[in-house]
Amino acid sequence: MSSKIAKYPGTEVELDDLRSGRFLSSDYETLLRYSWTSGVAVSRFLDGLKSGEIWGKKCGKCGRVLVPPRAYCEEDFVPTDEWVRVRDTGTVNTFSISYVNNDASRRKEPIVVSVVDIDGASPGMGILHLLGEVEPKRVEVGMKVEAAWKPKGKRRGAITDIRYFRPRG
Amino acid sequence: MPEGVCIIGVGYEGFRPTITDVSTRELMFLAASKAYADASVDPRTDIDSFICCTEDFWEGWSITDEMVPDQVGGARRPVCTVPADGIIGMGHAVMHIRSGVADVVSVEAHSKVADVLDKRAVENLALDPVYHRQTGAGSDVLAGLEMSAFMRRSGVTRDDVSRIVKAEKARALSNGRASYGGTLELKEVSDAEPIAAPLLKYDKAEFAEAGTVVVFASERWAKKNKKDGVSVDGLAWRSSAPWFEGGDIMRPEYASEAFRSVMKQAGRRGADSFDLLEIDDTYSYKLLQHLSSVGVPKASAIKMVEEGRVNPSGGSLGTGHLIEATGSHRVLECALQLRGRAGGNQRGKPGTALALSWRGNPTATGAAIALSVGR
Repeated sequence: MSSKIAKYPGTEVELDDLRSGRFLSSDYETLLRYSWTSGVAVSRFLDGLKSGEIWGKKCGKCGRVLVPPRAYCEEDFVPTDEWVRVRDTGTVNTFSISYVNNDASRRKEPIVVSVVDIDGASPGMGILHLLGEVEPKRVEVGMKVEAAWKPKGKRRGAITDIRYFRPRG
Repeated sequence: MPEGVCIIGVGYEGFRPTITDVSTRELMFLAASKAYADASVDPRTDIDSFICCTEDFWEGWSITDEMVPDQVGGARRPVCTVPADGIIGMGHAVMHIRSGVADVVSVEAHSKVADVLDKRAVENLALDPVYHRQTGAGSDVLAGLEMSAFMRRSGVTRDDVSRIVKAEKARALSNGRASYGGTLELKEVSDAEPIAAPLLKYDKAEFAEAGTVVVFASERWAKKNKKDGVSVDGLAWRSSAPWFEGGDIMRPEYASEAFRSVMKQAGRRGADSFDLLEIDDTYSYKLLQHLSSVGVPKASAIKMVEEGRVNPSGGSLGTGHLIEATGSHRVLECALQLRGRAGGNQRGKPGTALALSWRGNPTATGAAIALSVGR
């Protein structure tokens, strides 16, 4: 409705009207399932996480170290040819204090989501991850952070093998 | 006189039932790298427009087009996605060139369909939600219904379609890109387990995975840069009425009308004017139906398939179905044949070729392209 229109002409249909069968509709539910092949670059990256390591790939042409790694350099359109182990520390590039889940439901306690520029990677190469062990109001751009790893036996080769990044030192 | 357009490079990777060693993006990069090497172009400076043919549900990723640029060389360049068969994407490339938007265009299409764990769930989402989806009849059942009607009205017999299967599977044995070649006896094909009778096991193309990239250029640009190309003499696509229950089963309009337009553009008279044809055979009977729709009668059609003039690649029945890359595969096979680089299934020195695609059930959309060399 707008400031000029308080009610549109016609009959409003509420969700309960459809559920009760007052109006005819067609329902359909499905389950879509995928299992994506990780490929050369992502597989090595995930395998590294399992070992508590972060790996990138270096482009032999422009020299950039890409983290997370990619099998090709999008700038030069050549295969990346050197694996580089980078540090598990970095700097907060940007952050957001989120009060919503990804299904748009509200959270009681906020989470801090950040892009962390990884030490050893080229500028602009970051990992989107959570920040932990820090009060949201104390987070700031430029904050030095380190990865908080899951215990070795609980890692499974996923980005969540890093529980979150936390303030360093 | 519209601007002439030609293919200056092709590249591909994969062509296996399942590719486990590279990701979708890496597959695209490998195919693109080969195509650009074949065309001797640098995508970062020479290519003006990038087109990707893909469908989000097959990718399992919404707005897939946003994830395309890097792996085809199109970072910060004009990139668009055509959610349709590869030949339709090529139609957009021709339009980009003829409208003056671009001189050189890359068209990518791929299948990474093994990543989709429940392909039926995706196929079912394409069915009409009110009338068809509720019945539990999937795309193969629609094929069974159409096959039954087509055979009854055309006089095509079980033996006829089994001959198609046998010939294509055998042809695929000499094609390095084919995943489903084999030596089958007619009885083996005819006695196979039913999917949706009369549609039997071997009547349906199985899925395969591949990445394909075709590079198009204006003939003016190709001439200036001294590149030999395969000429695009005509390209068209059509959609018939999307009601499965309607339409002429003997003459699928999407195929006959697209073909008619291509013939007019190419200044050709009929299917017989092509040295080779790569025609949709998603299902065995569809090959005969499509050939019938472009004016090739049953007796000639079967002979042309058995002699290898139609689908020398082994078609989708022998190579595997590549979802939206299926049409691109047919163009790839034609281009390789015309350049004498088709490998084990090379057919002499063809000068002209026709590729015709269908987007699969429940669609009534098809595309055709006429190609030639040495004009």
